[in-house]
Amino acid sequence: MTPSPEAMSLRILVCVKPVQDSASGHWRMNHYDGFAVEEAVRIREHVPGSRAEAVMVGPEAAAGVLRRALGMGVDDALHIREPGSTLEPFQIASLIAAAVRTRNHDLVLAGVVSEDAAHGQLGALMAEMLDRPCATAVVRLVLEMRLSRVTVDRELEGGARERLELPLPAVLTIQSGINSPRYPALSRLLQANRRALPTVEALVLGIPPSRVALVKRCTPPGTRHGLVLEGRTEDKARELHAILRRKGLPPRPAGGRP
Amino acid sequence: MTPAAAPILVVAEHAQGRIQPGSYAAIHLAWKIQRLHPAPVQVLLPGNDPRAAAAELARRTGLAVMAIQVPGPEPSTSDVAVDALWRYLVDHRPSFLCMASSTRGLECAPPLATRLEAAHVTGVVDVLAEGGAILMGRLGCANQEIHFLEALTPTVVLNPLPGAFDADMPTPSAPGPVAWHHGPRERQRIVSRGFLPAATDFGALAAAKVVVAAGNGVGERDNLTWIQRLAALWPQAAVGGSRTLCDRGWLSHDQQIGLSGATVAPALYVACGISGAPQHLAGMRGSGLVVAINTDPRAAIMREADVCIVEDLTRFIPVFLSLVEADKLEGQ
Ligand SMILES: Cc1cc2nc3c(=O)[nH]c(=O)nc-3n(C[C@H](O)[C@H](O)[C@H](O)COP(=O)(O)OP(=O)(O)OC[C@H]3O[C@@H](n4cnc5c(N)ncnc54)[C@H](O)[C@@H]3O)c2cc1C
Repeated sequence: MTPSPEAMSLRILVCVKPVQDSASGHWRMNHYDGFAVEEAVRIREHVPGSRAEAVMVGPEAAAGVLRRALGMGVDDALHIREPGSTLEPFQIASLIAAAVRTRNHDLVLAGVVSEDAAHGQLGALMAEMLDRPCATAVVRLVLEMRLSRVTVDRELEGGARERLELPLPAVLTIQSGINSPRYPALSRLLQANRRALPTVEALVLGIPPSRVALVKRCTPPGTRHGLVLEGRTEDKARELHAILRRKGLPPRPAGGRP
Repeated sequence: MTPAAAPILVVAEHAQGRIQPGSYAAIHLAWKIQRLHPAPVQVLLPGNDPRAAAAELARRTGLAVMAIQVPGPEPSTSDVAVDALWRYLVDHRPSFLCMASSTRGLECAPPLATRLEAAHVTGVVDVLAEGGAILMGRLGCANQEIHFLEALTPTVVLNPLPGAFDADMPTPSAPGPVAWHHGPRERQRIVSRGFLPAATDFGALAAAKVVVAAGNGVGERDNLTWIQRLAALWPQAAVGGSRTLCDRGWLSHDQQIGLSGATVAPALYVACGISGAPQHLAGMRGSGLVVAINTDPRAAIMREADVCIVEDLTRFIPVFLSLVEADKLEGQ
């Protein structure tokens, strides 16, 4: 492990992505990042002298997302300001890597995927750019400070898992369900609201050129018949009942005759 | 003389003596690209000792397979697999590199794309040719649109969306050739301590003829009663649900349906308050009749349903239950 100022303490970085609600325009923390922030805060609480920092690339209007991470218990926050919201994952990773490269975090955490774009690339990109080992989709994490090592169980397909050991410093992406993300503490939120967040402009860090261009959009084709039942609730219930009977799947009241 | 088109390469995976099924979906994606952009398709199979698996792949696909030996302990980890693949790719740059949408495939693709300075598109649902370019489609806008992207780089790395491409292989006329690529021992930082089988047994779900599945749309835990009462209308029915509810502890993990849970194919699947995320759909697509109850007519589940009921489930299910009850009284 890169020597931390306090022996056996950890410097943790957690990457959070702001996700915009399409109806209200309101920014919230990516669902999966909530689990990563919670994990960062738990480690910080368990390993004395450790510090957790959150980093976010996003517009000024999304600063509340970073404040939420502070409210949940991270110590510091860095806002990489970028007005658009269409950066590609490798551009976001390049920005974060440029901002944190010299900070020698022992552990970098990110959510397994973002709920809006669902690229699922950021953690593995960060690992490559910072030259760290990486494990994705982590559902259990045990730190062995004496060995400067982290042992994780990560999810494979169909509920199977793989157990991996990674030397620190390392990058992990956190899968949902690993913990129950806490609500931000009100006192911490108020504190965070009073505080100016450290900010750096993406343009200053340098955004690498895009590698894809959006050419067109269309509606996905349906795979099934998609009969939409019309009328009042009672009419729909009656029609569903008729369809099920026709299909040989008649519902019968519990305790009713066969 | 025009140079031969750069190949379309597929990175296949095997673990515990088995080809990862996502490898076959990646091959189907490669074939679809090949129809639009003629170039040879070749499969790379990294592993500690991939000989038997490479022969099996060549036999099942009829494609040329390059077994890439990754020296070091078994099972090999992503870090050494990436280094070994990179050593090969640096001299054999593909036009397209298709990788499985598995955990492993999604972990290895970003570092390879970075080294290849390639565009990287995950969750690919379709490819098409337009204006001389190959466009790659992925879901956008809460799964309500397909966004077609053009790559601005000579190489493109792709991971298909789970379930978007077939995983069955047509029988080839002859097995493909197998070749070997030996690499030096790479710096290995990650150690695998082995695989843990799925902690849960999906027996009850798998055996059910009817599955009533609950999603985040139930709103409150108490509303699960409606789901249970609905399921009780059929003799061989089971209650399942989305990952969201299992993560929250409202349902147990052996009730989770989808990519990281059970794959079910009952005669009737009733999705209650489930949006239809691709990871959920991957576990229920083979169902017989699919009924979706959702307040949002644009929810992705509606495109996968035979019967769409745009209703609040806490209003619709009680009405349906009383109807079935009344029907019984009438029939007596
Ligand atoms: C690697 C990975 C693996 C995953 N594996 C799985 C998996 O195995 N299984 C799985 O399910 N997910 C899985 N997911 C998660 C998946 O991406 C989705 O997040 C999840 O399926 C969403 O669950 P949901 O549909 O219940 O919730 P939401 O997406 O929140 O949808 C809730 C739906 O309920 C509707 N609704 C709201 N109120 C009502 C009401 N009163 N009545 C009726 N409808 C209402 C809404 O319109 C909405 O469509 C995985 C994700 C990742 C990254």
